[in-house]
Parts: sequence; structure tokens; C-alpha cells
Amino acid sequence: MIVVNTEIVPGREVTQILGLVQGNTVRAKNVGRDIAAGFKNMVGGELKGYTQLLVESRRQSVERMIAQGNELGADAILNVRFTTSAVTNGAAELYAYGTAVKLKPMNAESAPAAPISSEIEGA
Amino acid sequence: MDGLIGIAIQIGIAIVLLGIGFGVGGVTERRHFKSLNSREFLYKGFLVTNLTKLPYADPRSPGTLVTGECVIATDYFKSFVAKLKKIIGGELRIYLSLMDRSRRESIIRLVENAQAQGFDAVCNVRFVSADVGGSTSNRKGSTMVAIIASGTAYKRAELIDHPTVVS
Repeated sequence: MIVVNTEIVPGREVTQILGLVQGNTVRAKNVGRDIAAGFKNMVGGELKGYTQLLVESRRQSVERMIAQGNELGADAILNVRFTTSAVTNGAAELYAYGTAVKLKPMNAESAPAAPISSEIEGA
Repeated sequence: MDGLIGIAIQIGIAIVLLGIGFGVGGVTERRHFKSLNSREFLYKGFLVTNLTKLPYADPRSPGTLVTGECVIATDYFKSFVAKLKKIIGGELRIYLSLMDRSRRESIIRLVENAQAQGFDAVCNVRFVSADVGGSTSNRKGSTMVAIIASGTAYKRAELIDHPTVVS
């Protein structure tokens, strides 16, 4: 499965658009981490526990999105975007969404030929 | 009299916390900026753009999604200054460095993830900020900046003449 956040995949072209696929997750860290974060808020610096929370949430939501894409029989998910929202203290919702498509390899010779023929038509 | 002593103790604790925040927080921040500068220097020449059309992409290799995450907490001194500033309003310049550190760190992690998978360029970089601390939903929540940077990592074609990449 190719997952990208661009609208094109180099060397491939889209043959069929299967629709929007999405995955989300709400994750909370345990109380111990929240207390540790409270202390860290006095001295500043990176909150490794929360960074880890973010990494896990992102991974989970992307996995769920890919699972949906697989159900539709997609080759790739294009234009993937993330959004987040706050649910409660110490918990984050992460929502990943993209467009599931079917791809085929682009014919290297037909690609540059197209604009040339249109130029001739125009003249 | 007891009330006065109580107030004095509270003010004392606040001053100690302010000192710790200013001292340790300042040192942490300077150290982080130093590390950011040196690591960003390592990635000179790695093409990072937010263009959507994959500049100089090698058509043989499809790209993949890469991300970088970072959560940076404020310190007691910064929150205190911000609270004071909120009375009169205006720009909270004290928090700017926090945003800057978090964004730059997540970009570096994004580039590291891309390099680890053997790619040499990232395009369509986007930032999303998450509210993991819940500082907006709950007044007692702690202030922190959580950034997710995402982008598409791909390989550049070798044969094309690249314009000089300055990053």
C-alpha cells in the first residue's frame, strides 16, 4: 500500500477513485505520566511521554485508515491529512483521512507525447 | 499572624519555582536550540518543500508518508510571564520560542524518518498541532505545544540537473 500526502504518485497514474478512507483514535497516557508532565511544566523541555502518545496515536490512526483502504481493494491512499482535537486532559484524538485509489504504472512514452499532440491541434 | 506567615510561605514557594523555571528552563531552551542548529546543519542538501507536485521525483520509486512528532512543555517562568501579559493582552512573545522549538524538532524527526528509509527528499510538508495537555478544554490544563509534521518522502532522479538546494 502506497500512502502519500500528495495528489500524485511518481511514475503511476490513477485509474479509479474508490473514495475517502479514514482512521481515528483517542488515546490517553496513564496518571503517572500526567503527574510527570505536571512537574516538567515547571522546568520546561520535551515531554517524552506525550511525544510517545502522539507517535502511537498517529500510527494507530494511519493503520486503521490503511485497513479501510485494504477493504476497498485500494493500491494507494493519496492526499493524507491529519487533524486533532482535544477530548479531555491528557488525551488526544487524532484523525487521519485520505483518498483511496487504484493505480497503474505510467507509460513512460505516452506521458510526454500527450502535450505535443495537443500543441499540433492548437496550431 | 498565621495568615501572614501562610501568605509569605506561598510567595516564597512561587519565587523559588520562578527561579527554577527561569534557570533550568533557560538552560534547557538554549541547549535545545544549539542541538537544533547542529542537527539542521547535517541535513543541508536534503530537499524539504511544501510543494504538492514532488519536484525532481524519480518515477521508479513511489513515495511514502513520513511524520515527525514533538511535544514541548512550557516552564513556570514562561507561564508566569504569560499570565501577566494576558492582563494587558498583546503578543505573547515568550511562547514563540516554544512553538519554534517544537516545529523545528518535528521537522528534524521527519527528515530523520525519511533518511532512515533511504529517501532523499520530502515534499508537501504540513503541520498539525494537537492539544494533548488539554489546556484549552480545562483551565487547569498545562501549557504545551504538540506538533505533528507530515510529508511525502521520495527519491530524487539522479539524471536531472538540480538547482542548488539551499536549506
